[in-house]
Amino acid sequence: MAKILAVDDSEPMRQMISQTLISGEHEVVLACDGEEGVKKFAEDRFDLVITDINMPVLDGFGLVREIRQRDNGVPILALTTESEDEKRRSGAAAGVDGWIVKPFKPAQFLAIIKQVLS
Amino acid sequence: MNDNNAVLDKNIPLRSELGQGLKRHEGHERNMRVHFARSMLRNILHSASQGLGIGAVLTYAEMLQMGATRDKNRVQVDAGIYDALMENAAAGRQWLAAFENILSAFEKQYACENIAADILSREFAAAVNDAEKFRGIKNQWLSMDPVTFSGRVRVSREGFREIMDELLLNAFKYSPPSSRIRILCCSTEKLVSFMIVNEVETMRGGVSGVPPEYQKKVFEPFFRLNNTWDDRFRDQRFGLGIGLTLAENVANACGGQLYTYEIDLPVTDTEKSAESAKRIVSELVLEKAG
Repeated sequence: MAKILAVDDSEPMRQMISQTLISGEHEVVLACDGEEGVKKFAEDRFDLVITDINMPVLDGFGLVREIRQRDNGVPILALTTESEDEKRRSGAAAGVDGWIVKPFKPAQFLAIIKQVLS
Repeated sequence: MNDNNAVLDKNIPLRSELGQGLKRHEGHERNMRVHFARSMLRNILHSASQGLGIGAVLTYAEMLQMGATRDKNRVQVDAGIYDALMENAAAGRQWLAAFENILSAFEKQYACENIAADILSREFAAAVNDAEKFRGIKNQWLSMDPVTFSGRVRVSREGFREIMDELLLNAFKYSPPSSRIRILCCSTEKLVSFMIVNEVETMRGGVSGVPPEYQKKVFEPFFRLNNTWDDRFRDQRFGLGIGLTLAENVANACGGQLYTYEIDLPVTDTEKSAESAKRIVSELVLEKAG
């Protein structure tokens, strides 16, 4: 079981991510945008961060950069509707370790998390 | 004969150059169409994949399958996931209805008439009333100056109301919580201008406001400045980045113009204030009749 910070501005999406992670027996902390994500990350220790990219206030790239300044080791996965290579490259440059395109397949999603955590 | 042949011979390379020019032009047009189709599909795909709706239906259906247990001809599933699936299926239906709305809006005809200020003022008030449910989402403030001008403007009442519905919705969606949105009306001898002015919601990492290079682009079908999707506004009539395109169509059908741009305004209502901040102005300009 891992402690995972999941950041997404869509409430139904947060609910869906949470249900999937709980079904995989993980503990989940949710944040609704990059700024709240930074705050929650600073308050706790996480085994993994999953973040949306297009978010108000502070976007996913900004969140990843902020996290990387504090912790270069925690794995970060982007979970987004963006599928273009340019965005993926920007993500990798910011410090994203893996890229999952929405709508996600729950089994595959959990398998990727398992792989990243191992 | 020889002279004519000489002219024809000279024309051969010219025709060929013309052909090349046409080919380049056609190639450019084709590239533009392909680019447009790609960005339209990408925007629809973005919208479909996030928040409530079609994308979530697929994920929940698979989650349901993961946790299902089969007993002869019956399948037992998780009630919470089943409920979420049904909620998203309903949102998916709303999506299809939005596409129907978009199609009908493109085909709609607007009857323009010459309208005085008091009638437009009532239409404006009705649009404000329509938008009340969206105003409450972020607890924003709306202030409206009186709609006054001499003479009449040429516009469709229904079209005017639809344009204002769309501009107000955008102002609520893309301005900060608890901020103030102002509705202004001013006129010259020949024109009447209706403006909706709102504060800029800062998007760190994304695009904030409407930068000059996007002032025309925001009217392109299915274009969205930021690929964020706010589920709280899912009751909107169109969504998907098509509203401004339709509003511009209506404005043009009545001989009017629709603009959206940024200006710097004092941060307070006091004109003497030294501080200024960016505001987004969505402006409908109509011609006076006669």
